[in-house]
Amino acid sequence: MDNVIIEKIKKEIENFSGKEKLEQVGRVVRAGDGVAEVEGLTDAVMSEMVVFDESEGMELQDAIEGAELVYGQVLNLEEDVVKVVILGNAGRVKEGTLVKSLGKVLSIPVSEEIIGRVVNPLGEALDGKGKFSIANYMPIEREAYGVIDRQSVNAPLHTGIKAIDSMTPIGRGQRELIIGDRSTGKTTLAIDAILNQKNEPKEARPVCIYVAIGQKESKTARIVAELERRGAMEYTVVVSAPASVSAALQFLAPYAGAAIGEYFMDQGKDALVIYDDLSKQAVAYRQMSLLLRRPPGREAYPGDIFYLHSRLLERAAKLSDEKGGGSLTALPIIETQESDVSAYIPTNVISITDGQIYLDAELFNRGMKPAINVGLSVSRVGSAAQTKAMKKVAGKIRLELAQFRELEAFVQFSQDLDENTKRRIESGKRLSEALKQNKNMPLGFERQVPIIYAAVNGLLNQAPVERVGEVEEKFLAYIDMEKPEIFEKLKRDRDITEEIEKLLKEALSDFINTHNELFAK
Amino acid sequence: MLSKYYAQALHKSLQGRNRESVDALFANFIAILRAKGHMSLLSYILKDFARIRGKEEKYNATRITVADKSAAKRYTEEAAEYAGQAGFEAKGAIIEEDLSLIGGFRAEKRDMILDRSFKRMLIELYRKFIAA
Repeated sequence: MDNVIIEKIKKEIENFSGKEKLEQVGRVVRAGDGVAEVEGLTDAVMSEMVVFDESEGMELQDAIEGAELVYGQVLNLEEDVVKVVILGNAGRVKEGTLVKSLGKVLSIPVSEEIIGRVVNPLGEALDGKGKFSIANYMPIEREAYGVIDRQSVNAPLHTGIKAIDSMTPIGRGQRELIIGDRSTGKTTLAIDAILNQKNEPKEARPVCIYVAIGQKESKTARIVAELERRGAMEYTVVVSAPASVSAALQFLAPYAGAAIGEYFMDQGKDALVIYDDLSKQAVAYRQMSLLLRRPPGREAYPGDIFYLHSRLLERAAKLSDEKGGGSLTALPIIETQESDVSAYIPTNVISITDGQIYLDAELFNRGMKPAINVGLSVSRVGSAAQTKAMKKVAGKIRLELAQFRELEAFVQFSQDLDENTKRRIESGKRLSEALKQNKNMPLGFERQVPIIYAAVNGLLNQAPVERVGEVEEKFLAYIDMEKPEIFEKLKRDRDITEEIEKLLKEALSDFINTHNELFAK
Repeated sequence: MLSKYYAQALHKSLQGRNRESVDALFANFIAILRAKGHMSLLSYILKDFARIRGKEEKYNATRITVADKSAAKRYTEEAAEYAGQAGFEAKGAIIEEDLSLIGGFRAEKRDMILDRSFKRMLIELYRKFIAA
């Protein structure tokens, strides 16, 4: 062991080039609240990375024993000073500290080995598993791909949630907002989408990046543990900027997630990035902007708050075949206050994204989980990417459900209902029930199709509402046992061919005949 | 605060002027102070002006820091050679001593730094080794 170390040091010394290099420097004239004012750095550019060199005046021993380097990012270029946000322990930056310009924009180290790891927005490992090898440095801020480099969204990204995959389908390269009040299941929905990628064939499975912004560390730890337990960390990266870190790191976290996603997209792979959540990022950016003395605007947010999110979400793309055909799908999360979707940040992000999944606190409290409000949820580009099988079975669901919700409200005031209305309400109740799904139980698309087919074709109408869940479960188990070729064929053809439809019809009638007890009212 | 603004304005106005125009500028400056009733600020303005000039002179000077005063001459010569190559004016440079540099030298002017100290080399070597 000693010899290995000695040889390593010997090699380092032999190859070491102590070439003098002229460096651009500045000196901190004021520091506080995570922001340093630096004199010098006359050639600094926006978003440039700088490092605070504390070694000046220190003995060698102290200099090398010091903790990790403290980095900063140039965010304000003023006449006499440059304002730098400190990315790390701001307490270590003092007046007079030497600041060295690194001549590059803030970048994050990436490689295949980052998969399965928990990192901070600077790419430093937080999971205690040591450093990972670095294949490339991806700039945290990068201009999004242009029109020529893109193609329209054409491949589905299955979330495993029946209500989403059938009514608000998401395509690879799309930006779909998840919006709702606190504790309405936003994170659960996103985590389910990650878990469901396990159902995808390995070669088509996207690399998932979960970005936790301003979250409690205990919550992130719980999510990581769940992903690990379910084997989802094999294809997932977690970027964590908890509430305890500086606002600068919380502001950077989504960009770091996008940079990691772009690394895989540029290789022709698919990536899914979840920003949980952008409301907290906006708050962190507001804090930074106020400390940088930028003029406040509406709700004290700075004037470029829209650009903060638009430049991030614009990086989601489905690349053209010439560019490798990779994709980056973004699922940003926004937390509303008192269900107010017309607040400043929610309206901004709604207008940027290609649709939204609105989680309703009222539905959630009534036990409808996931609490997706069908009327307010929409996917503007996803239907083009929806699998044919799903498109065929789920075509009518949205309309039926919307009609049901309307009638349901009407029923509260009216007693005498005609037969047709009664039938619609009963059918709607069962349909709603069929779309319920337990937490962390995503369903592969081939398992969703038979359920929705059964619901749309009236099978569930014969069962009591409270037994719909049981019918679903048993129907899937029945297909597993008696007609597993349905799943195989659906997975292969991704369409409801005549042959599959025939098999489904057979399975349905056999199931009803053999499970009479489920349908006894 | 006002004296600081006057001093900064005066300092900026004086840049790149010859002797005659400087005299004229000063005369104008005094006339303006008098007209605005700010003559009482003159002593503060001059103090601020002196501070700005001092800061600028320090900023513009080349500072060469060596590790060992007893070997200052050798290091200064070496420093002058490197510093000259890097665009520093080694002639008239301020020589400072910093024992923590261990050896070598460090030259600094404006916002540029040339660090040839042994300390920097050892720190870099250490970081490279740790990263490997």
